[in-house]
Amino acid sequence: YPEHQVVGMPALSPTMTQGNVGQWQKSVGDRIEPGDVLVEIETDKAQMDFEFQEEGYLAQILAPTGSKDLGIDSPIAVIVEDAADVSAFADFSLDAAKSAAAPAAEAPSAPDAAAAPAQAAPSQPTPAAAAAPAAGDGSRIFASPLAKTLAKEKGVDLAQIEGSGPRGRVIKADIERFVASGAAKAAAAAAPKAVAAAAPKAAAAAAPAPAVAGVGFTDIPLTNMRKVIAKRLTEAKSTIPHYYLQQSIAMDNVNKLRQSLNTAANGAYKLSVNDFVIKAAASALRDVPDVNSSWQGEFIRQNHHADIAVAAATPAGLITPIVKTCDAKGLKAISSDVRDLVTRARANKLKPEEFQGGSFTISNLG
Amino acid sequence: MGAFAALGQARPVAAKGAVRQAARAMASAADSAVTIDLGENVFDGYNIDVPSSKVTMSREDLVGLYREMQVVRRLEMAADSSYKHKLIRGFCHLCTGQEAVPIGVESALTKQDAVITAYRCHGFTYMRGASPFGILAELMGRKDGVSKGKGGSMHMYAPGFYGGNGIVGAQVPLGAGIAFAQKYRGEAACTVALYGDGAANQGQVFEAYNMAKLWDLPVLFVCENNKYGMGTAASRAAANTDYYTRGQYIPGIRVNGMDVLAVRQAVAYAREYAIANGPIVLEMKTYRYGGHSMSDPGTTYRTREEVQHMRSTSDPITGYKHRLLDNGVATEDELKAIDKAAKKSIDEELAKAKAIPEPAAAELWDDVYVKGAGVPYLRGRVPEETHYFN
Repeated sequence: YPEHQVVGMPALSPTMTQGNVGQWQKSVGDRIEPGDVLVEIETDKAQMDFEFQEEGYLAQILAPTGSKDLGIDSPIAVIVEDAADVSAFADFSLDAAKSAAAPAAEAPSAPDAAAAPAQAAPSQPTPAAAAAPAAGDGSRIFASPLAKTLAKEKGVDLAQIEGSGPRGRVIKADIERFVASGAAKAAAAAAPKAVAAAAPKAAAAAAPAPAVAGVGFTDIPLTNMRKVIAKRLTEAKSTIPHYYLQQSIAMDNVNKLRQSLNTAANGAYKLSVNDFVIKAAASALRDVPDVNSSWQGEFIRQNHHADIAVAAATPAGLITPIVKTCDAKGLKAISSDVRDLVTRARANKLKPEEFQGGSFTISNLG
Repeated sequence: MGAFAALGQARPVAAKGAVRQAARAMASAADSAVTIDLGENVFDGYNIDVPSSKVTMSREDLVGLYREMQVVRRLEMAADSSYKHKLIRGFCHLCTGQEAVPIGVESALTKQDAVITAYRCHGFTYMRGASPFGILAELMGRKDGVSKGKGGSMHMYAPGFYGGNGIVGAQVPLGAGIAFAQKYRGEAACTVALYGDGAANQGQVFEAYNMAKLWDLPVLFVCENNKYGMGTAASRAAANTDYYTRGQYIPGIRVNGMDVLAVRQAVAYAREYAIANGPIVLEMKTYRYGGHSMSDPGTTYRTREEVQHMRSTSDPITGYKHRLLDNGVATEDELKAIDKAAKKSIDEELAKAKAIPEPAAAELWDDVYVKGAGVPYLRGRVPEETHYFN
């Protein structure tokens, strides 16, 4: 094959490990100028444009639109310098290109204190054995910095101490008590887990799954978005205490107000029942700040403003764009914001800060 | 082709290519001086006369500027692609589109002058003497990088180059300080302290202006105005966007920062002024094609059309190429050859850099203190990480 460059899946965000291929913006044979968008890539966070920085011609597309879960550096296209070489790649296949589908992606979430650097696993495991991180089960030992220092000085294993501080935290008094009780001959710190943690995480190989129809059922493949939604909902349901309240509310007065406001609008706006619910919720949140709060593990965050998320169904899944500071906005502003956000949500054009956050969610089943 | 009429005797030599090519290559500097007119409205002055818009340089030097800009462009593109392949992590701010500034500035300075800038520093690091290999290795955190792999994109240094600074605007008072040292030591040299349009509104910049003017320090305050702070347009951030007038009592010159010869001319002029009289402010009107850094796509606060428009009409390298061709300084083929050579050399340096390993973990504790002025122990991020020097 003539001289060419195989373009791999780019890492468009620092945390991205794999991505899906969206719409190709260039076809085979097109000229590419530096700065042109080659293809849309769906990352772990958002849909982004992959701008190509060199000039050339697109000789072959190796990962068509719809390819899913390609690891970073998986080949997605072939670029050549001369237009004349394009035809030579008509039947270019991937076996020539070494498959990078199993990237040596370091595990950035490695929970070791003396964090090993990226890529090449360090040849000598860091000898400073991390006593604090518990073995493998991912749970952190909560201890105050003073207690940690003291424990290190005395050679005490934090895992053996029961904490008496806030939320079971190990504090200085606990260490002193432990030492005084003569149990000072604690076992040596756990074997350096740093080495184990540095083992490369094998990312799932790329295997784009079309909808598989079987006898009596059809398997519908999941978008990244749906996977993330499911994961988050499960996490929320299992880690956050839930309680349920139910109330019937007569909306007669609200409907009368809505009608009169809408007729007076003369087409400038059209309020929906949802807008009233949002505004009412915002006022309630302002009056009862305890409800405008969220559990953050070590503390409760009480928000000063009512950022209300409105559930919107899009073809890709459910998303909750946020209408900010509803307590300071009027019905008209809320109505136009909701309209704008939902339209953009359906077109997949929301920015991350527009659907991340929020302290209150409203779902309207219609 | 008037410049070549004065070539004199072409020495017979077995050179590659045509005899005329060989003759050009062997011509001495005095024979091949070219004068180029930069045109009108290249400079705006504030309380100072502007430099002449006629530039006279040797052919080699003129072509050399083109070569350096092309090398920096390819260097930044290599950094871009390495970042997208996760070989470079953390922050990475590229100067693609702004190449005329580092090349133009360096070409007007001597080795005795000092340069300090912010984090868009790869071009400056190269021009001040670092090799592309050293820069790429540093970006990838390898042990043979310019800062031994421990600094990264924002902490690169070279002789007479004080970085490579991460805190917005903090390098400006430092630059005034370096100029103070130069004056104190009686050196006939200046310091070029660069900052961006976003940093230009920092209070510490004005404090530096004050001290520099008070003590007549030989410092060039150079504002690289690429029209956007991270994502905020200059008009939305500054009450006065004529950054070359922000020095108030300090004279200023505004320069077309996409024209390498204009940058060179202005810096040479300003350098003379600064060494003789005191501080001066320069504003380089320039543009970056990429985002603020690699985490920023660069299209959320400006349209892609705007970027492509600047690429096609104001590119410093293409513009300079046309100028060289129009003035008969070089041929299309020569310049193409330079392009190819630059690409090849950067590709090679990148491959070399990729093969270098990272520094050993024990090196984390070195180079924190000057030898002989150290401490008995140094704390890491947690108490367990305390390192004792024996």
